[in-house]
Amino acid sequence: MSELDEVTRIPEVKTATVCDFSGAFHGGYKDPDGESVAAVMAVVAVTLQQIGEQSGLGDLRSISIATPQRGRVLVRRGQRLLTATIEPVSALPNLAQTLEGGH
Amino acid sequence: MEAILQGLLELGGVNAALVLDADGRVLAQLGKAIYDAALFEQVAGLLARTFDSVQLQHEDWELITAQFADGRLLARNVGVVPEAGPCVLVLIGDTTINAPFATVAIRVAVTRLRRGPDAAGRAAPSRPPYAPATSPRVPPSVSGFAPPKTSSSGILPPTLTRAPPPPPPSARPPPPFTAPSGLVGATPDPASTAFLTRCCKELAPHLGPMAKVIVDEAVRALSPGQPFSMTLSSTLVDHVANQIESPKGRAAFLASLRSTR
Repeated sequence: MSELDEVTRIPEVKTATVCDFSGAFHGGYKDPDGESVAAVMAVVAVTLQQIGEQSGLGDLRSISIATPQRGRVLVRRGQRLLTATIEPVSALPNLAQTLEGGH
Repeated sequence: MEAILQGLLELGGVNAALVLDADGRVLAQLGKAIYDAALFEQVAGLLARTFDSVQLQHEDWELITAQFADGRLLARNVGVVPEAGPCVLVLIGDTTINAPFATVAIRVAVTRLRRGPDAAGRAAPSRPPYAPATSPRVPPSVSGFAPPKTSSSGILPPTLTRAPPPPPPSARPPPPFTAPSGLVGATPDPASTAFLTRCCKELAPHLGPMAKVIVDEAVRALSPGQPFSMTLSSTLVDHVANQIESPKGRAAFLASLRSTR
């Protein structure tokens, strides 16, 4: 099962994108702006990875972003990044944990 | 502002806390030994880049949580802080950080930051509170690390090095009264004191060490500048109960307090 298949089976996942740390787009689900999401989330992942290295936190595993209406989760799968928008935002903490443990 | 960070740093697992302005300048910072001024500067620059990027996709972001192999980073968009403008509060911790406690503590800190310097206390009299730091950006009160010291609470490890702790909450603008329990705003009325103490006790299983802070904040919000009155007890209980995320926990808290009123 592909990363996208796995994540899009979750009802709270509204869109999903797979990319890598260089920002290259590898696939998407219901996201009309997948390339842009891939580029932005790659930059976020790279900068947070640098923070982790400098602060002794180790490798980045996941990122959750909460807004009033929805959430975004990004999980690292090796050299790939899987990111998804989540609605409602209250599902974010559990889904982040689930996806992080899903590899 | 440092007083607020001090409270956050006393949470288990938290290693550093900082406040950044919209330009990524460090307005306040506190951290354990590894976090010297240079590291804070580097991290702040990267954080500013992160927030700018996140904003491209999520302009209204409220909370960013990054999970690492050996730790966790929490960034809360504070909004506009009086005299400082838009700010972000950042906590960096190890894997033992308790996320629910940290989330509650961040909410309390954000409320206090938004209220401004009068409410937040003045821990660094050498410079105006909330004023953006100029070069060097590190506030003197924080960059001057103190010798290693273990806090009386035993929460902080002996390796902790930072400036002397800021004044306790009682150093804020004079509270109406500080009861023996330490609850700001309590009155000499034994019933009120007992009630507030019981509130803290019943809240502690749900919110841990933040329970007293939450009750203090609620008392201040409900009877600003005046002694707490038992006529506000129901409102206070409802207000405080809303800080408990778990519906089951909230119900248990309400039941325990209502059964004794």
